[in-house]
Amino acid sequence: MMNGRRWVAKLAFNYPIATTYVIIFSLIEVLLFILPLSITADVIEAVLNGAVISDIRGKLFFLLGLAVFQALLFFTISFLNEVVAHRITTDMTQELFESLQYRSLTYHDGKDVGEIMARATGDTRTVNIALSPAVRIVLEVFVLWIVIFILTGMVHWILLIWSIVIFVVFVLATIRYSLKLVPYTVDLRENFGELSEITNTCFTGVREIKSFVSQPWAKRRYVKKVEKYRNIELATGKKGAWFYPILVVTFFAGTIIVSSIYFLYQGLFNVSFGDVIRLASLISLLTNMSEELGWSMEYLIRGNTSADRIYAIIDESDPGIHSDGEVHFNGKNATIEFKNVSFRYNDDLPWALKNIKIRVNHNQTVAIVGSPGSGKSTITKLIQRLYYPTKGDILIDGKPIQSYSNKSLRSHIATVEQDIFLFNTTVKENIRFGKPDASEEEVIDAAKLAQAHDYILALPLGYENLIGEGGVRLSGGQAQRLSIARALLVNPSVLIMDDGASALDAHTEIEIQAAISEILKTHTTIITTHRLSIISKADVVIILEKGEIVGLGSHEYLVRTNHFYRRLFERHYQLPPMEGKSEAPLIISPEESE
Amino acid sequence: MEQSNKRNEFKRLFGFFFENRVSRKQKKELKKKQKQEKKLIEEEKGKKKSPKTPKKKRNHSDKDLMLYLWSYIKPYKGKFYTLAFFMLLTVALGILAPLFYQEGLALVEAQDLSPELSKIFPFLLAYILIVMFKWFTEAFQRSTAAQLNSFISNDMRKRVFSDVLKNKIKFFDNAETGVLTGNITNDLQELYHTGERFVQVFTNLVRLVVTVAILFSFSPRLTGISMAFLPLFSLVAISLRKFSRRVARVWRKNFGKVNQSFSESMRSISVSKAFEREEENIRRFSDLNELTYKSSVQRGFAIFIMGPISDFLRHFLLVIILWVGTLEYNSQNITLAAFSLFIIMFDYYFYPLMSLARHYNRFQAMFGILERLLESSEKEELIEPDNYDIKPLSMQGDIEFRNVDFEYIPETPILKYITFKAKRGERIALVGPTGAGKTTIASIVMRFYDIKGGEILIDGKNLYDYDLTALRKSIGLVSQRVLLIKGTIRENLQLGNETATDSQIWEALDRVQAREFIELLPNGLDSKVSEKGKNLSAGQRQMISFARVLLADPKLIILDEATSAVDLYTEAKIQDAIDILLENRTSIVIAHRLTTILKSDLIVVIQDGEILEQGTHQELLEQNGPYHDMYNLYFETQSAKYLETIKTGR
Ligand SMILES: Nc1ncnc2c1ncn2[C@@H]1O[C@H](COP(=O)(O)OP(=O)(O)OP(=O)(O)O)[C@@H](O)[C@H]1O
Ligand SMILES: Nc1ncnc2c1ncn2[C@@H]1O[C@H](COP(=O)(O)OP(=O)(O)OP(=O)(O)O)[C@@H](O)[C@H]1O
Ligand SMILES: [Mg+2]
Ligand SMILES: [Mg+2]
Repeated sequence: MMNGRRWVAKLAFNYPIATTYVIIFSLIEVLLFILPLSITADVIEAVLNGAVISDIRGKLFFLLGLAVFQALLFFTISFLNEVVAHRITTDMTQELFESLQYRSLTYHDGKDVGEIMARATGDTRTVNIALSPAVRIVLEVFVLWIVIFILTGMVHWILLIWSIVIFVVFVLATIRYSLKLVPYTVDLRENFGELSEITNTCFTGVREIKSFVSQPWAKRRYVKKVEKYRNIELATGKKGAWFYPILVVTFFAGTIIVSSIYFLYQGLFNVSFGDVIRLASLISLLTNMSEELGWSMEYLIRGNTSADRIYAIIDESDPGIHSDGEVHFNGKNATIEFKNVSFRYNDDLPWALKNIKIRVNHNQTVAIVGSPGSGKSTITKLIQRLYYPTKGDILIDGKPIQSYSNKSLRSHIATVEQDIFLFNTTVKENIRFGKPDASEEEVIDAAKLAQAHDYILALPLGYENLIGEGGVRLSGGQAQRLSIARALLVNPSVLIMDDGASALDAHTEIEIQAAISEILKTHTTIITTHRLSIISKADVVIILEKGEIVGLGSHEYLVRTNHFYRRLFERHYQLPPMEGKSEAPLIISPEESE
Repeated sequence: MEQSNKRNEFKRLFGFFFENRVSRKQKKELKKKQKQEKKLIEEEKGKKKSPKTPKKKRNHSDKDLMLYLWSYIKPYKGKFYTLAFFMLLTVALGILAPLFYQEGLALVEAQDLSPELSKIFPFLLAYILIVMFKWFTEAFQRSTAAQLNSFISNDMRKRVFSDVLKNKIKFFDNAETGVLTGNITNDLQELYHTGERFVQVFTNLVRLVVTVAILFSFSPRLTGISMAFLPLFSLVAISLRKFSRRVARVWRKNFGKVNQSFSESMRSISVSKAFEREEENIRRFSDLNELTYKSSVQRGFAIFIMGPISDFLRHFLLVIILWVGTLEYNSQNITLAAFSLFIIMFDYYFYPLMSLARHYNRFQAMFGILERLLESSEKEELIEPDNYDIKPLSMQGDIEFRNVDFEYIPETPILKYITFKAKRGERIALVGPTGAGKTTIASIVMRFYDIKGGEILIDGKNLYDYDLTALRKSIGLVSQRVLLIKGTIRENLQLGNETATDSQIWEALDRVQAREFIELLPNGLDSKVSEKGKNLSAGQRQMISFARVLLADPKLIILDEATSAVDLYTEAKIQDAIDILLENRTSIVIAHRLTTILKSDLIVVIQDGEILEQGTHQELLEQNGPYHDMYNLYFETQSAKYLETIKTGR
């Protein structure tokens, strides 16, 4: 079973040389750090025995040389460690990003951006600290213990046993302590996620919050989370402060130092003055390092929790997963057929589409009308294969939609979305979104078709103008025209316009229609709209109501026969008389619709 | 892939040394972006002396910042003093213990080998007890520090949050929410961790002073000589300072970019899928990510480089102590025990210095963050008042624009000489091509932006003389950009009126024809609305945002394309339902669908920020001007073969 820890280890061993180097040499480096302690003790012992400066000069120079060497080694280790740690976290972020890119929309619908972001940013940084230097410190402490065993063993085996006993107690206590800390860190990270989520929500909604003067409401929501977070932080902090394994080490240090002095005093076991100094300085190093260990353990645990959290997303199963098909869609015959398609976004929700049967022939233009929530956008999303039908089949060019490869399918379908999403980059980059390598001319042509060229030129920096987050610096209609240009640039065989003219005035709309009318003749076009100007030009009109088709046919036919269709206009227009009862043919072909 | 990873280990790890991973194209783009950002900033500066100019130097002294910090500590004075007490105690004990140890050694050295334990035993016992006791005081100290730290950083959190919310819309127009969120959450997290270190380093510094004093009493010369390396040390720290500051700044910027790119791409996932952009997204993200990798390593370098340097200096110092100590001992100036004390205790003053140097840039960063915090509450030009409890105005609802000029960016006029007038209860329609400035008019009535010239009067009084919050509470804006907030449907509706009862809510929902679909949802009003309301259809979202404003019961209501995503039939029903509601309120209606505005008392035709003509539908038709053309065009295109006559309502 893979978990966060293993995953990180796997990533680390993508860089085997550097990782091994760091592990092995940091063990050696500790020894090099300890060696001077021993030399010092020797020097003092020598001095005690009457040595003068010339006697110890050699030792001191050796010490100096050692220091240079140790520093260099330490440098390479910490540099590599740092590099590997950042490399790993960079890889983690990348893997997280990539795995999320390919998740289905069903998956993303259930996810919150703020939450994911907390993992992508906060958690990766925690892992980073755990990898460098926390892991190294833990390793070093263990080496230190081994040296202690040797030194104490050299004095007397009882001391060796004593240090082994203490070591075991220390390790057990550390593990116990760490296990206790785990739930706190999990809680902490989770609440941190919530905190960043709420921050994000409030900042994205800032215009609404300001216009309703609901800052107090926003603050209350925020403060509630902050306080919850603080309480957990407090609890964790308190727990972290009482890293009791240190007490064991402190006690140990005290006993060793005291007993060595005592031995020296009593002249037992040949303990020399040098030994005492050696032990004392080593042990005080051990206590210092063990304090670092408390901190390091905390970060290791946090890092582990964070790695788990990131990995949980990477590992999470995708409820909407479908394997990619093999068939290449060439767009030559973009016939779309819905065969008894029913769809719901999720099992708890009502059906968004019920038993839909339609057929759209190649190069036909279909208009879908219906009241809010009747399922128009849902149909367009199914055609783009953003979701898969819950029941029934969608056939494109006679083959089930599932059998096509994503790439070929989507490269032949372009959409003007109802929820326009624009990026905070230049106008040009936004238009080029679907075709990043499009030339300048192509971009301008698309913009001209979408009647966007003129206003773009009027912007301070023209095509290079930044449009702000979500296009805040553009008017509603300007944003919509950008998204039309974006779709037209792709030059797809299937063009979907989901309410793509809702923010346009009649004049602009006519200009766009005139500009693209030629294009539309060679495209299968699906338009959802409330505009009569568009509906009346469609080959087929589909009327949806609560996810069901309640009318289907040409405008002329429907306006005389269909009650749902008539009621759309009867308020504003003088309608022709009603002829008989509406009875929609459910499968249409070009003959019927003309 | 893994295989190739292994082969490319060197390249993956150190590639950034040799190659510039940002393509030239992207660099150009980045540069442009920066240029424009700079321009925007400068423009803002030109308008008002902007506080947003990036300043290389800090404009608050450390003292100011410490005082600022103190203002956060103050409420927890008790904890602070406790902390100080435990800290001093810990330091005292920490120094006492080696002294006893030294006494023990001194006894040995004196060759006092008398067999009775009683002489040495007290020292040894005292040593153990002190060391153990010290652990407790230290734990108390740490625990208090952790508490103080989280109290303070969370107070700051709250403070920053409300400070950011206080910024004007202009600030948010130029900001990226991803970066903003990232900065707030991560800055404060950073501050928390720095706080932890701060206490530790401070403790060490106290210990340093005491240690030096004690060592001095044992051997002034040895102490003096071993202090000689201090200048060297500070030299290293200072020479690193500039580098570390720079890399920290770069890192912060890149990190912010990665965040923004990540979150933007999460939000736009459906567009990305629709346009088959995944690969390209990954490629671009990877470029940014690698850039951040590079700056992370640089930033890391600035921190860890202190490790080897200080290790080397430490050993160097050890050699000096041994050297001088030997000389001193040989000339009988110190005892061997005192000599050993130096060996044991030199870490006591070495480590504090080292940790100070090591965390120096962290403290720099802390000051940087503190300064940003301090400044965020000082930028008065960009700040809106925050007296949120104020009551809405009891206004009549007469509104008048007098020669209003407006521009978002200096020298790019958006509105020119806008003049119109409406009395209480009247309905004004703003029509005109896209980009004409209709939404802008709505925004300036809400005072989201400040006008440049002219006057806006409400009930004869200048708009800017009203209290901002009271004003906003009395105006309801159904915005063109519908935005639902993550939460439940009920929470979204209550945004406008927190105390709204269920029956009021249902009434408003009835008016906007939204009852039916909400009743069908499994949890009704308590159904979850996901981020930006993406689990609802566009029309449903619009209906909710409409109902939300109705619930707030505003005196003046602005409908900016409030029903553009709704079909004509539903729209007609909504209109009927709100007609009564609008009867005695002034309303401004913006719509491209002319059917929506036929009933207005005043139609204002705007194009390119200027009013072309104004009057009632009838008057304007008779004038045969732009409105006449617009109306005819609409009529022709919107009515097909059999829908020949359009009913004009009134
Ligand atoms: N925040 C902003 N910063 C800079 N320019 C802006 C900003 N918002 C709008 N503009 C510009 O101001 C002009 C008027 O925009 P506005 O949104 O008022 O148009 P509108 O009449 O509402 O158009 P539409 O019918 O398309 O919604 C446009 O050219 C637009 O690009
Ligand atoms: N991502 C989603 N998750 C859950 N439910 C959804 C989601 N998107 C839409 N729905 C629901 O599915 C139903 C159909 O929505 P759809 O967006 O297809 O309506 P629509 O006909 O396009 O309406 P509109 O005219 O308002 O755009 C609605 O009841 C809506 O609430
Ligand atoms: Mg829709
Ligand atoms: Mg607008």
